[in-house]
Amino acid sequence: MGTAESTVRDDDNRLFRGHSHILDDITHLRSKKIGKIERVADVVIWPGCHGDVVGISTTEHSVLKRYQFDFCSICDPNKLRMIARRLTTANENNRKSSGSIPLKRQELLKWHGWGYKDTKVIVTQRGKLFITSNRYPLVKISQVSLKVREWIQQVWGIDLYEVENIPEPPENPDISNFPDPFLESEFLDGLLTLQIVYSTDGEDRFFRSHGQAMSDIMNARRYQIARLPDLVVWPNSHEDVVKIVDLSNKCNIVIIPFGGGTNVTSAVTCNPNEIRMIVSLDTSQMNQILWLDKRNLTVCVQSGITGRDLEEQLFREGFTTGHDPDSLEFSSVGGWVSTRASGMKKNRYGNIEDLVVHIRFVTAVGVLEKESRGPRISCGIDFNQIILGSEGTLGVITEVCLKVRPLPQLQVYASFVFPDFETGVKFTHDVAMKNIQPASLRLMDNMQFRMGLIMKEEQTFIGEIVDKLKLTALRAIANINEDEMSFAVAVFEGFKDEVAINKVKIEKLVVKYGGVSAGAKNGERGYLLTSTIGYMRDICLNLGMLSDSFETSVPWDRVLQLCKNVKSVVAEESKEKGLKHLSVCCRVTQVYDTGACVYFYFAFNAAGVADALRVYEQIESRARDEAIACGGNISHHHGVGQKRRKWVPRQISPTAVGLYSAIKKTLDPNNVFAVQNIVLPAEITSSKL
Amino acid sequence: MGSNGSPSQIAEGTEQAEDRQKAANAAPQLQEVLRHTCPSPAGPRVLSTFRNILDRDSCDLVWVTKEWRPQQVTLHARTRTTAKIRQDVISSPKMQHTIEQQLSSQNEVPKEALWRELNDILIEMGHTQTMPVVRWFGYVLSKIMRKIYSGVFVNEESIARLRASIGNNPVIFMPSHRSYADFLLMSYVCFHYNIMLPVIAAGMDFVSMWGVGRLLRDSGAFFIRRSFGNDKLYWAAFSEYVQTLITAGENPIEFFVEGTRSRTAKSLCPKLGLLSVALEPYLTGQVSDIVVVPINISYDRTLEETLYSYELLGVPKPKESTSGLFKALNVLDEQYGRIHIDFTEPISVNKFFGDLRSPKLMRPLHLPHQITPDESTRIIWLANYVVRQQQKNAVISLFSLAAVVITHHVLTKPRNQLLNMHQLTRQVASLKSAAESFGALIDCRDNLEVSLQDALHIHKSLIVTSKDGQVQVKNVAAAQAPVDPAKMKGHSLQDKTLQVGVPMVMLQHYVNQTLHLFICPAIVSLSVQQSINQGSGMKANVFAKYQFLRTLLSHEFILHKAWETMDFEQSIQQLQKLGVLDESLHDSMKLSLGSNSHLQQILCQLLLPFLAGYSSACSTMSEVPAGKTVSLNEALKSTQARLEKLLLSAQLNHHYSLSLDLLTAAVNSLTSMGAVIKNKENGKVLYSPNSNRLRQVTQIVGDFLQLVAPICRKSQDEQARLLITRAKARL
Repeated sequence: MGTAESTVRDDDNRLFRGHSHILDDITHLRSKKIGKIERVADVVIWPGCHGDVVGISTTEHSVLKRYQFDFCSICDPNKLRMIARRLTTANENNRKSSGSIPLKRQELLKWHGWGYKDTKVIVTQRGKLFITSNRYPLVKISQVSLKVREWIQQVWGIDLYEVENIPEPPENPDISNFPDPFLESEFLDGLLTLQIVYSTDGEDRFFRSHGQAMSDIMNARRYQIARLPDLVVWPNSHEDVVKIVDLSNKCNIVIIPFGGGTNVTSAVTCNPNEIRMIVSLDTSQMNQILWLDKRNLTVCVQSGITGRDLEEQLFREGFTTGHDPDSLEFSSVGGWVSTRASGMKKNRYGNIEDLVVHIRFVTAVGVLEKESRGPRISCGIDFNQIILGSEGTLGVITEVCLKVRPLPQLQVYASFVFPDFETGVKFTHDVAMKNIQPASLRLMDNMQFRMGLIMKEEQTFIGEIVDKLKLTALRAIANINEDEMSFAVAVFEGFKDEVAINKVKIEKLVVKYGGVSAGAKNGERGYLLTSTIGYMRDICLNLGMLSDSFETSVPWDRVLQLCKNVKSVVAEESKEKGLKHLSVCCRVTQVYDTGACVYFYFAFNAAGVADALRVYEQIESRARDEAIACGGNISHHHGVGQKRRKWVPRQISPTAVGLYSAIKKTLDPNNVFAVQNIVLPAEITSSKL
Repeated sequence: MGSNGSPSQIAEGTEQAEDRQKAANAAPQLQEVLRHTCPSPAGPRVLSTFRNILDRDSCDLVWVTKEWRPQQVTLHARTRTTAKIRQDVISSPKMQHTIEQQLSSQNEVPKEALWRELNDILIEMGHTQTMPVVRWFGYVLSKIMRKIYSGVFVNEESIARLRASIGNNPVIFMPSHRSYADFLLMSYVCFHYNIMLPVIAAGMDFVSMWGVGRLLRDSGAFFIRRSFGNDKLYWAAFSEYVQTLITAGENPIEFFVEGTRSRTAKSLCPKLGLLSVALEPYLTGQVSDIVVVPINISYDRTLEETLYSYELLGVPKPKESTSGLFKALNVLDEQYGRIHIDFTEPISVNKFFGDLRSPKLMRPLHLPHQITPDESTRIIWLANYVVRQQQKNAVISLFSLAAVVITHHVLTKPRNQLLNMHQLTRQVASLKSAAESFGALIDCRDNLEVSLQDALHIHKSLIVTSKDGQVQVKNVAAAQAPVDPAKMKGHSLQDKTLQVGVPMVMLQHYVNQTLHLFICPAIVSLSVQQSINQGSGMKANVFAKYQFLRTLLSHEFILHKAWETMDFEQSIQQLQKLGVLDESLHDSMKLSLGSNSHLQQILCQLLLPFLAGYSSACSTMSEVPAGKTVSLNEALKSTQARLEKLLLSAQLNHHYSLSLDLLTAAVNSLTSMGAVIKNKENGKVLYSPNSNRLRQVTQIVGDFLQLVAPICRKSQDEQARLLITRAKARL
C-alpha cells in the first residue's frame, strides 16, 4: 500500500470530507483496479470512545490501528501520510479490547453466505466432508456412509459421492455491481464535524443491505438487491448514536440500525422506493463491556458486542449471561433485544426479555430509558416492552444491562432416542408438566436426525460393527426402529448434585416413554451441529438445493398436529409445484410449561425449477399460514422483519397495529427509522390512532 | 297474481327472504371459491375411459388373494386396531372433558357409569376391518355381481386423478346413495385398484341383522344410530370417533351426504351433520386439509326398484332382517345391467374454506368447536356442491330416457294409441341429443336402436315389447300380497290405485334419474310459457317465475340459491340452442318460445307430478281450520286421499304425485316459504296454515299446474288397461 502513488485531486473537497473515499480506494487497490481509481489515500480515520482517535490503515491486510490524532491535520495529504508512517510504529497497548467483528466485516465474514470466510464445508471424493477451519470442535473430516448417501440420493436427488468441485461464488463480490450512493452533503458535513467514521464503499454498503435468510443470500449472490444503503456509519458510543440520530432527524436521512447482520426476516432490507439517503448504522464498534457488577449479578454492555465476545470476557471473570442463541458468534446484544431473541438454555437463564435489566434507547425525539437498576419495578406500563421487539423501527439500542450468573459448576450433555416423534413430543410435554426442564432440551424428528448423520466421523471397521450391534439391540430390546425413531438432546447445568438429581428424573421419564439413553457424546454433537447449520445451508445452496428454516411456537395440545400439518402442507404444495426432490423435517427446540418452539427445515432440489426462489417463498408462506391456522405463532424468536408482516394484524389485532402506529408516529415523527419492519407501511398510514 | 307483485316476493316470509338475499349475495363468492377449488375437467367425459372391473385377467380366486399393498391415504399413518381406536377416543381430551366436566357434573351421574356407557357405545359403533373377511366377501361379491350385472364400469381416468391427489391428507369418499349395493361397491373398487379400503358410516339398521352386521363391520363399516336427539354422550362419542378416523388418516372415510338411500333416484338434499363433524378437525387446525371426493354410482336398474315404489306409496318397508335378505336373494335371478362409477374431481377443503379458518384457535382443543355462521354457510355450499358433482358425473342409461318418453306417452296420448318401438327410438334419440347438450353422458355403446333394445331388455319386468313392436308397461303389482291397510304409512290406497301406481312410480324412478339434467330447463321453459301466456315474456318477469318455482322445488331437487342466476342463464342458452326458446331475438330482454314445442312439452310435463302433488298439499293445508294444527302424517294422509280422488276422477293421471317423499318435501317447502307454520308442541311437530300466504302460493302453483296438465286425460281405469296384467310377477 505504501507504494501506491496517491493521485489526490485537491479540488475535490469531498475527499477530505469523506473518509469513505479513502476506504473506497483501499478496496479498489486490493482488487487491482488501479486504472479506475481517481483518489487514493492510505489512511482511515477512526474516532474512538475516549475522544478523537484515528485509525490508520497501512498494510495490504488493512490492519486497523487506533491512535490519538488531531483531526484538522488530515486536510493535507502529505502531512497525513507522514503521520500515518509515524503512527504505524507507535505502540498500541493503550487501547480498549477490540471486538471480534472488524470495521470491514468482509475481511472476516463471507459475503455470499453464513459465517467466517475461512470456514467452509467441502465435499471431496467419495463423500468425504471436510471442514476448512478449526473454529468448530467438530470432526474435521467426515465420511458419508453408503446408507446415508443412498438416502440423500433418494430425497434430494443428489449423489454425495459424485459432487466434487461444487461451483462456489467468488471470494469477493464483483464491485462493478454496486450502484453509486446517493449522498446528502449536509449530512456528510455533519459526520465530519462529529468525527465519526463512515464509508460509502460499495462493498461495505452491500454487506449491510441484507440479512442471512436464504432469500437474502440468494439475492446477494445474484446482486439482486434493489437498494443498498448509501452510507455506513460506525458509531463508537451511545453519545455518537445520539448525535447521528439528531443529525439524521435534522437532515431528513433514514437510519437502519445494523448489529450482527444475522437476521433471517429481511429486517435490514432497504425500501427500494426510499428517495432519502439511507444510512446503515453499524453498531459493531460499540463492543465494550462498560462494567460488570459481580455483587448485583449484572453486566452493562454496549449494544454492538457479539455474544461470543461477551461470553468470552465474562468467562474470564467466572460469569455467563446464559443467553446462547445459535448465532452467538455474530449476533449482537442490541440485535437480541430488538428482535426478542431466545437462547438455547432459556430454561435455566431465561429469554432475552427475562435477562434485560436496563436498556438505553436512542429515538428521534430523545433517549428512552428507565431510571432503575432494581430487580423489578411496578411503575405503570413497562416501556422496555416497546424496545424489545422494535426491530429497528423506533430507534437504536445503545447500551444494555443484562443479568449474569456465575458459571455453572457442571455442564453435562445427554441424548436419548424414542420410538417415534410422537412419543418424543409426549416425553417433552411431560417434562414440562413435571417442571423438570434441563437447561436445554431439544427433540429432532426422524428425518432431521438422519440429516445429522451426514456429518459423522469416518467409521472404522470395528466402529461400524459396534454401530450395527447397537442398532440391532435397539430394535430388539427397546423396539426402536431406525426409520421411525426420534432423537432428543439435552444440556444439564448447575451444581453437581443438582445436575445429578435432574438427570435421574429425566432418565426415569425417558424410560417411561419407551426411550433409551444415547450417551453424552451424541448430545454434544447434536448441539455442535446446530452452530454449523448455516454452513450446511450454504453447501446446500452450492449444490443447487434451496434450503432454509422457519420456526413457530405452539401450545402443547397442538404441537404434534402442527408438525404433521405443516409437513403435509409443504409436501402437498411441493407436489403441486412439481418439485421432485425435497425434504422437510422439524424439531422441538424449546420446552415451555405452556407449549413448545418448533423449527422446520425445508429443502428442495432447485434443478429444473423455474423461479425456484419464488417457489420456495410461496411454499414457506403456505407453511406459515398452516402453522398459524394450527394454533402456532407467527414466530417464536426470529421476529417479523419484512418477511412476515402480512400475518401481524391477525396475530396481534388491528387495535394493536393502530397502537404501534401511534407509537411510531410519536417516537419518530420524521420517519428516520424507515426500515419497514413489523407492520406494512400502508397500515401505519391508515391507522387512526 | 295480479297486483300482488312478483311471485317470489309473495311466496316468501321475511326471514326466509333475508336468508335468500344473503345466499344470493354469496353466490358470486361461491363461484370465486369454486374457481379456486376445482379446475374444470380437461375435456368432455367419454364412455371409453370406463373399464369393466369384472372383466379382469385373473380369476376371482387369484384376485381376492392378491398381495395387499394399498396406496396409503396419508404417509406414515399406522393402522390401528379396533381396541386402539376405542382407546384413542376414550382418552381424547375432548371425551375426557365431556364426561368429567360436563355430563357428570351437570347431570349428577357417576362418572364410572358414563365411562361404561361410552365403552358400550363405542363397541356398538366400532368397525373391525379385517382383510381375510374382506377377501372372502370380495370373492362372494364377485360371483354375485358376475351373475346379476353385465359389468361394473369404473372411470379409470378418475381413478388416476384420485391416486394423484391422495397421499398427504385425509380423504372422504362421498358416493351417491341409491341402493344397499353402494356400501359394498366402493370397497370393492378400492380393493381392485389397490387403494386403502374405506371405513364406512352406516345406519344402525344393519346391526340387528344376524351375521350381516358382523360382516359389514369386518369389511369396514361403523354404525351410527339413526337419531340420537339430545344424547350428548352419544354425540360426543360419535363425533370423536369420526374425528379420530379423520385425523389419523389411515383409511378413507366413506359416508353418504344424502344421509339415506334415495328411494326416488333423485339426489336428496344433503345432510350436514356428519359432514360438519368430519370437517371439524380441519376447521380447528388439526389437519391441514381434507380431500373430499364426490362419487357417482349409476345403476342401470336399481335392485330395490319395486320395494322403493311400494315404500313411496306408503306400503311399509320390511324391517331389515337376515331372512328378508335371503328372501330378497331371488333378486339374483334377474339381470340388472351395468353399474357406472365415477370419482369426480377431488375437492380440497382447504381451498374451499381456507379464508375462513382459524380465529378461534385460542380455545383449547378439548372444548367443542362451535361452527360459525360463515362456516355453516360454507358447509352448505360444499354439501350442495358435492351432490351437484355427483349428478354431473352420472352416466344416464338409455332406459331413463325411454322412461321419460313412455311416461309422456302414457300421460298424453289416447289409450288406443300405443307407443311402438320405432316411435320410441326416434323420440329417445332426440331426447338423447337434448340431454347431451345439457352435459349428460349417455350410456349408449352401440347404435341407438340396439342399445335401446338392450336397455329395455334389462327392464323386461317393467316394460315389454310385443312382437309387433308395441311398447307397454307391465303391471308388476299384481302378484303382491294384499297390503294390510293398518300398516300403510300414508292413506290406505285402493288396490286398483296401487296396481297402476306401483309400475308408474317405478317408471318415474328412472325418469327421476334424468331430472337433474332437465329440471332447470324445465322450470325455465314453463316460466317462459306462463309469462308469455300472461302477455309479458320479459326476462325479468320470467326470472321471477323461475325463482318461485325454484324456491318451491328446492326441497325436491338440488337447487341451491347460490347457483340461481347461473343456472338460469345457462338454461336459457341451452334451450335456445335446442330451439325450445326462440334464438333469433331482437330484444335481448324478451324471451319467446321456439319451434321445438315437442321438447318443450316434454320438459314441462316433467314437472307435472310435482306441481300436482304440491298443489294438493296446498289445498290440504288450506283446509285446516284456523287455529288448528295437523301433524305431518295427517297432512300426508289427507293429501294422498285427495290425490287418489283426483286420480279416480281422471282429473289427474300421474300416480307419482302420491309419493310420500314428494308430499313431505311439499310440506317442508311450504314451511320454508312461510305458507305453512311449523310449531313444536310437547316435542311433536305440528303444522298450521298461514292463510294469506298459503292462498297466494296455492294460486300460483295452481296456475302453473294448469299449464302442464295433459291435453288428453285418461281415468285410472283406462290407464290400468294400458298395463298388461301378469299372472305371476316376480316381486
